[in-house]
Amino acid sequence: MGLVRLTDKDLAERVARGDGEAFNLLVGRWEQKLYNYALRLTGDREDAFDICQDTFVRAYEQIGQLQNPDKFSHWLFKIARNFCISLYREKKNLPRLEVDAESDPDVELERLLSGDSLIRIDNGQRYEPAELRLIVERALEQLSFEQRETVVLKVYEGLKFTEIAEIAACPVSTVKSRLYLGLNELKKILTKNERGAS
Amino acid sequence: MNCEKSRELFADYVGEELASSEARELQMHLKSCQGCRQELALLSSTKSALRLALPEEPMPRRLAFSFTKPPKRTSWLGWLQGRSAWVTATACFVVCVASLALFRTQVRVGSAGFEVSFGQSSVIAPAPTPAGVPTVVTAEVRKEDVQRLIDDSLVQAQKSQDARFKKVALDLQEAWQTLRVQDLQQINAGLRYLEANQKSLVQDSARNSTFVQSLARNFYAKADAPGTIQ
Repeated sequence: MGLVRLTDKDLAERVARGDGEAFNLLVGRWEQKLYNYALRLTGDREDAFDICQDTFVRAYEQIGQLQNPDKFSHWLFKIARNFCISLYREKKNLPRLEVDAESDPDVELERLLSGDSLIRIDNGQRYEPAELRLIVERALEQLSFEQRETVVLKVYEGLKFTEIAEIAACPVSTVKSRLYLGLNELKKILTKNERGAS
Repeated sequence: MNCEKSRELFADYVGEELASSEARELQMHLKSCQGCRQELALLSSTKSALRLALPEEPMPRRLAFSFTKPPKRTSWLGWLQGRSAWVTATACFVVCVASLALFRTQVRVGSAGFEVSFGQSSVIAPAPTPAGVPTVVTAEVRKEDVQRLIDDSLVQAQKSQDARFKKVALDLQEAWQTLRVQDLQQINAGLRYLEANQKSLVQDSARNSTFVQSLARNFYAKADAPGTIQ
């Protein structure tokens, strides 16, 4: 079908005129990226999926307000970012449950995996992917939302500093500083983990 | 270049956006500064570890939407924001003319300037009549002419009614077609969703079993190692 070859801009303009098929094509193009973006920010698959779904519904409702259809993807990330921020604030305000570590199999599992991890971030030696995943997820959680978002957009999505600045609505210099501080913090957490393991 | 300036460029280096002139300067500094060299190497390997740790995951299930309502239209102000100055100016002009007509505005131009007033004027001056043109035209109307006029009007009314019926029938047919296409799209989307769901279930179970196997291997390896598990 001809629609497949159309750019995001063309499809977004069609959606604004009420073309549902064009919208589902845009969903197919961006759902994977958006899901992973939300997953890396929230660290929770269910939350990430809900955010992804809510983002597309909001995008459809507000596509008439999209000033520059050329930047459809940035606009989409901005919407998802707002949902992530809301969730982050919501979870931050929730009282933390005191879990009995001995009786919680998840906590035990994490302890088992992180207790004697083989991670070597300075020379890339042996580690189990599942171990590294848990350690990195927990390390990302310790960053501020802004630092985590910058790291995710740069390291995983490969966006330019100017593009991240646009999504996060801040100057490019702030983005660079957030990346530097974020990576520095992660480096400290990961090397601490490594020292604890050895 | 000193260490402070060098660290300012670390984000650009790790973000792969370092300009070539800056790259040369940084390289020169790194050759002579072990501290900066070590820090930058750690930052780079942290980035690599992050990439390795969280590879892109497939969606647990694919999304497909079927909206019954079209997207919201922007307000007229929002509409103007995205337009060129020329379109904006034309739209403003049309709005002005429409408001003048709506409020029965009168503009009087005199020797002292011009005066604008709104609403029905109490005195409206008659339009000037060109010289030589009679102000009232009278003519004798015959009965046959009246009958002919009535017949013509009836024929015209019949024609316009036929055209309206035709248009309504066409509109109905078009609406029915649109509904049919929408129904088919909805069914297709549902089928695609079911199919994706099935695939993702299979992938999930495969992934889960690999993960459980790796955990078990890891656990037994530790259990076998002397002195690790009591």
